[in-house]
Amino acid sequence: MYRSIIYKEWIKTRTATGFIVLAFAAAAIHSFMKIAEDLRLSGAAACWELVIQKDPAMFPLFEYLPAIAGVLAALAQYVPELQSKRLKLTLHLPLKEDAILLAMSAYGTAVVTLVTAFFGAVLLWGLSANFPAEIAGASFRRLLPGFMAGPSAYFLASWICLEPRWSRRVLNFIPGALALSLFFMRAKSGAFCPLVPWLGGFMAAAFFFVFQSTARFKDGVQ
Amino acid sequence: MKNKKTLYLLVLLFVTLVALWGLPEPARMLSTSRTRYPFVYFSSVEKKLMFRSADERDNVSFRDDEGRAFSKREYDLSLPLLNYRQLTVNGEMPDSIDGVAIDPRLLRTKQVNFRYSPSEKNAPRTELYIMYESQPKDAKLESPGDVFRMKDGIEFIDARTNTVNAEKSERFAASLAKAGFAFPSQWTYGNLNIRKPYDEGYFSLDAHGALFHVKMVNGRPFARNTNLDASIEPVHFSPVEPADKRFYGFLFDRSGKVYIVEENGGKYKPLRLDIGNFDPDTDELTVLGNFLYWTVAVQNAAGKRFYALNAESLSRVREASVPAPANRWDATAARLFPVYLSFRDKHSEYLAPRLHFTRASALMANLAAALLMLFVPRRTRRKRIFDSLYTLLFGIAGAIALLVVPYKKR
Repeated sequence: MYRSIIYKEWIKTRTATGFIVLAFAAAAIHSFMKIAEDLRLSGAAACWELVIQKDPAMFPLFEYLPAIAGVLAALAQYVPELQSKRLKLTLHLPLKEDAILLAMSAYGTAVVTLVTAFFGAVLLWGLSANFPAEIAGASFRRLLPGFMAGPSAYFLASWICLEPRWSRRVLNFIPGALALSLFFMRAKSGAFCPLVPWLGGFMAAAFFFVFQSTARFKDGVQ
Repeated sequence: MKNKKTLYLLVLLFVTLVALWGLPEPARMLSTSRTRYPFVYFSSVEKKLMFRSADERDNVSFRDDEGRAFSKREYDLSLPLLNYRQLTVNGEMPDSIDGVAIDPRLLRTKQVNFRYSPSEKNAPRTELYIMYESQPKDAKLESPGDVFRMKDGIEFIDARTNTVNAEKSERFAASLAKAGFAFPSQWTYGNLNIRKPYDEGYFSLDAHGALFHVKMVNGRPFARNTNLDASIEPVHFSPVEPADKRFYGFLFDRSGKVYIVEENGGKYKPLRLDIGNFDPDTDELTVLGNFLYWTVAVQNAAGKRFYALNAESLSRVREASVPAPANRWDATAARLFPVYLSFRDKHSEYLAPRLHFTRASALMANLAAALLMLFVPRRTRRKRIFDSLYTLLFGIAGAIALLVVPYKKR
């Protein structure tokens, strides 16, 4: 049954997933082309010095991309469930409701996490070829909050999406958007390090928010 | 769906925490007022600290540290070493002060302009450095084409190939070993800016707490133990390159003392600034110096202390202080938010959750909100009591969360 649920989720999200992968790949290619151009025009030494002294964002496109991917994945997964109340049918599959929702949520989380982790690894691998480990490490620390925003945005968007009442969706959106904005605070590379465990704790908690919306749906809230 | 209560509490706590930050933040942005401190400089003529203050309507007034009022012209004339360009143009510059003839070159080379903020120390760093040639053949510094790391050892990385330059690294490592440097280094500070008159390299604290000076002279490594007194425990070093090459920078130690490390015939001499206790994690330091006196300002949450120091001995000549002006945000927070959450701190570049407790009197706001929560309609008696206690604990943020998070089928 789990395989069937995963297949159902794949059918719903394959277009969105393909679009997300394409967007990440395009952003990665553009970022590397820009870095290659800077290295060629200014020289490696000048580029390194600029990075050490000014701490610019090496991959500005990737600051928001994971969060957009998270929202897109949630919409692709849960908007069809809300049309004609298909979620009711889904929850009637021969499995416990919690287990069904857990499988669906785990699928979406895996898609967002795997795509961001894969492209995160590609970016760091590419950067390590032309920059010392310290610069690659600083870039990783700078990308980390944005990448953590991916699954977080997915959890919050799922929570809002499955909430059955529109007025509540708006009320859920406000704290959700505020919480998500924490991942995008302007700061130096590495400034987020003390906050990362707290953001991780928030992510772990936010994973379960969708269960609250589904419980309300099951309770017949209109 | 099981565990509905746990889910409710989880979402409630989430919204409460967001509100603990999200509610006070716009209030802080709207109510924070500018901290206006007077500009203070020691008059080498009057032998007093001179204050230039501006009120909320930008009306400027001038006085000395005894409260005597000055006109703008009197004020300018009392600070010839600050306003020497204007006084020279006006033909009003004195020929000498305290028996020392005024020489434009002396004025320029002995000028000190330094500012330290705790966020300089409490900030993430890449831990890569650039070693410039300290005695370049040309007038300006040139990029060396490599960078170096200095944590568990010293390694120069060639920018062209992104590989370690083993030969150069070994030369510097041997020089550091010969000087007695013990890795890992605790910290290394240097001025990475290429636009400076000369380069004095880096000051690095070794594993045993000894401060070393490392630089490159004519392409060769230079490493020397500063041999500071054992009573000095350095916690931070702010390098500066003054025009007269008198000293290497400002040294902050664990016991709250601030020193300059002077060049003394190939040796290093710490000279303490007579400015009282200084905490590099919370206090800001400003030094404006001329060849006779240094005016030093130390600012923290309590206010700003001003010191006039003798430029040679750095002993205290005069002092004054100004208490911290009232900030509208502090008053607002004390009334509305007994507890609130923030993520930024002006003393640190790091982001971290920081819980602030204002005044106990602000708990009255919690109490009032808790009482109101007892009368929310369509809730059981038990739920009302829970809501009231929750609001008492988390204040307005808790009350808003209770009203926003759906309870049962609402």
